[in-house]
Amino acid sequence: MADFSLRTTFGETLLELAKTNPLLYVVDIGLYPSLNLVGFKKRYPTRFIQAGISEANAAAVAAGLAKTGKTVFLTSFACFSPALNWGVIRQSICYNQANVKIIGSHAGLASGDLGATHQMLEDIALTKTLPHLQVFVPADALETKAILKVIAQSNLPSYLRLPRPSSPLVTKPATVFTIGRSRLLRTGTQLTIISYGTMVSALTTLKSLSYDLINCSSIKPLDSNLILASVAKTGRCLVVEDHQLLGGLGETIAALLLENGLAPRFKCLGVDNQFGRSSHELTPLYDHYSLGPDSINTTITNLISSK
Amino acid sequence: MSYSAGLALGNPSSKIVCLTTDGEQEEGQIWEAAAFAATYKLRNLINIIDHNKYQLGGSVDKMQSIGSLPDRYSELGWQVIEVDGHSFSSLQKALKTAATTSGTPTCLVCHTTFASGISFMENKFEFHDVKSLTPAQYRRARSDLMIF
Repeated sequence: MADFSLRTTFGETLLELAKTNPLLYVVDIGLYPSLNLVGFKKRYPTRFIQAGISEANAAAVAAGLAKTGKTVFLTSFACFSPALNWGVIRQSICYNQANVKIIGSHAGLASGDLGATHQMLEDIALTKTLPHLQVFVPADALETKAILKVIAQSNLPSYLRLPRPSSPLVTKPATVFTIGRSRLLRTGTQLTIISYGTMVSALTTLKSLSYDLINCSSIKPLDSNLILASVAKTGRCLVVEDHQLLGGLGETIAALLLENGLAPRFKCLGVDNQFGRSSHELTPLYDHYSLGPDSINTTITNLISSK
Repeated sequence: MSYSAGLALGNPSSKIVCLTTDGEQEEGQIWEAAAFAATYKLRNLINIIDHNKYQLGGSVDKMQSIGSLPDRYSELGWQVIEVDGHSFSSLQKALKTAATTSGTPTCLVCHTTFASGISFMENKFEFHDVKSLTPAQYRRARSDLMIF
């Protein structure tokens, strides 16, 4: 299966959207080549604002610019934005309901050779708590495009998490993204597996198991009905996330299930209160954090065998 | 000020006036914004600094050195105008100059006296965040300000 870059798609899609939307702006925090925005900068120099390495300033400039009627994409790595400038995002973007799309790239363990400083594993925790902020994570390049098209039309602030590496396609070109809706990629009876981002591709072809696989690309708002219906059916739930367990999607889902009277067999796999570490090879890295195929299979076996 | 810079960038035909204080100049983001505004030549941005030399916890320079504000803003490429912040005519004149600048943002460094005119409060930072006055203090303040 060929891999496709979500970041390449990001830059291409923004260029395409800018053609028909003259109010689409980029406020970049110095890393535009890594987000494939060289073309955007060249084609739309007056709509490409370079804030330099100043995350706090850039977030508030983006908010002010958005308040003059623009749709502003604020671009950086997730470890810098929304991490370094969280308070400014809270105050200037979210409180003002400014039409800013925060793009945090290189999130998750997969930015392995940049090491722990760059392996942002807390961004979902930081963003899901902020009022008015929507949170989305595409599973592949196609979904990156689908989400961008939709959020460019929405006036609310959004956070879009992007990974560094390319990944296989798990969605279809015809798949339409809807805010607050996630999709079942497989259906079955024994277990509900919920994941997001490029982790999803590792979960599409599990053998000897009948399972629902939910690609939870709309983290906030969450597709509660889909999740509740699936877990009510299977009675077992596994959440897999390339993020800290504390503050991640898993605890949001656990609360959702409990509040709705469901008490399934439940397990969440994620990073357990640790920082990332450098690794050029991704397989041993995910294995180290119990997010590799062996850990996933063992966890599923335990969930299925228990009553 | 970053937010104001964004407004100024997106709305070049409007004048954007941002009010800041000297204590606030300790914040790194102010200087990110000052550099940004100079880089983008935001001639429609005016930063008015109330330079009264006190903040909630004490005198500004004892909390954190902020150096010379006129020098720092000039160095980054701003037009700087120093005025007596208690003089309406000086402020009016400075704002007129700021409005006609070509190519740079303008910083009005307003030299002011903390709690000016109230004898027992002047330059006493303890009154920065005062919630209420005693009846005697209240009468004295009114008298000092010639409010009868």
